[in-house]
Amino acid sequence: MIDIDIKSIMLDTSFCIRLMDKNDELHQNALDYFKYFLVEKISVHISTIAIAEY
Amino acid sequence: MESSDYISITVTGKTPDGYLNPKDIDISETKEFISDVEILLFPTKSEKDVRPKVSYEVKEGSVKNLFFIPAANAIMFTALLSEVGKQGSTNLLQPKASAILDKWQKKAYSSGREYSFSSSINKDQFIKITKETKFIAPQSDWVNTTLYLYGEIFEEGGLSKSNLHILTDRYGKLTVDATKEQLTSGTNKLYNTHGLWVKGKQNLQTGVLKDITLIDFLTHNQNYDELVLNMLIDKASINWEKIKDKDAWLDEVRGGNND
Repeated sequence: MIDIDIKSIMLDTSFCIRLMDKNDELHQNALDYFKYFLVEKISVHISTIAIAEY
Repeated sequence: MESSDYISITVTGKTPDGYLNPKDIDISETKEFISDVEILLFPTKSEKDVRPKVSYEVKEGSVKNLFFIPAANAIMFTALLSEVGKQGSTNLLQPKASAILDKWQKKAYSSGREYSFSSSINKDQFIKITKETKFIAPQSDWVNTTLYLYGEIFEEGGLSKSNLHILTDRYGKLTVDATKEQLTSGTNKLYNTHGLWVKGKQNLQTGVLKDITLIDFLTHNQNYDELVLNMLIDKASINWEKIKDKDAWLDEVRGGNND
């Protein structure tokens, strides 16, 4: 994974869908990113629009 | 000794009987106007505390208000307001002075009154507020906000004013007002990492927070629980299995516009 110096990120709806569907071909990718954010203590934000869409 | 230097603010406008003259002005309006001019001349507390004597005279034509002040003050005021007039904006002024011009500008819009400034230093009108001008005070940079804070609570208490101090990654050390009931409820929070739901004011330019008050403590588990995440993924995957084309589904949710 690319080492990027960021403090916070915003998740969009597609990311949430891929993260929560284990049968999606991009699921592992999303899960790895999610774990990376947690390990690196990167703040994760999600907009109310994305929540409404999901 | 009476100063011979002055600031003149002429207010013109129409009344049902014709043009405005001093006899049309009620004493309460005169009182408010004089108070406004005092703020305009000496907008900060430190300036007001040491201000020189200012005397007042009203003359006809329509209503010509003369404020006699020392030469140094007249020069500074004339220079400052001339620049404000040139720029057509109150950005140069102290917030309180800016608010006075804003107030008169609104009066100009609503009643058609006009305010013309001149002085013993510059007898030509150097700024005029009319319904065509836009001397609007800048909006406050501080907006009300609610947000979540995460960090270690390193101090709590207070005798007359109870609060807690939290060290956050994002905003550094913050003081959050909280009631004694909030601080004493539940488990001991001191030197533990907590999530707070707070309200307060945030500066639009700098992001700095102030006047923060605790709404509630959040249940915040800082440890990543893989088991819980996997359970949630298993649960959600059952439903996602029913949707064959997730991109098309999302496109539809967005009203068919996913560009």
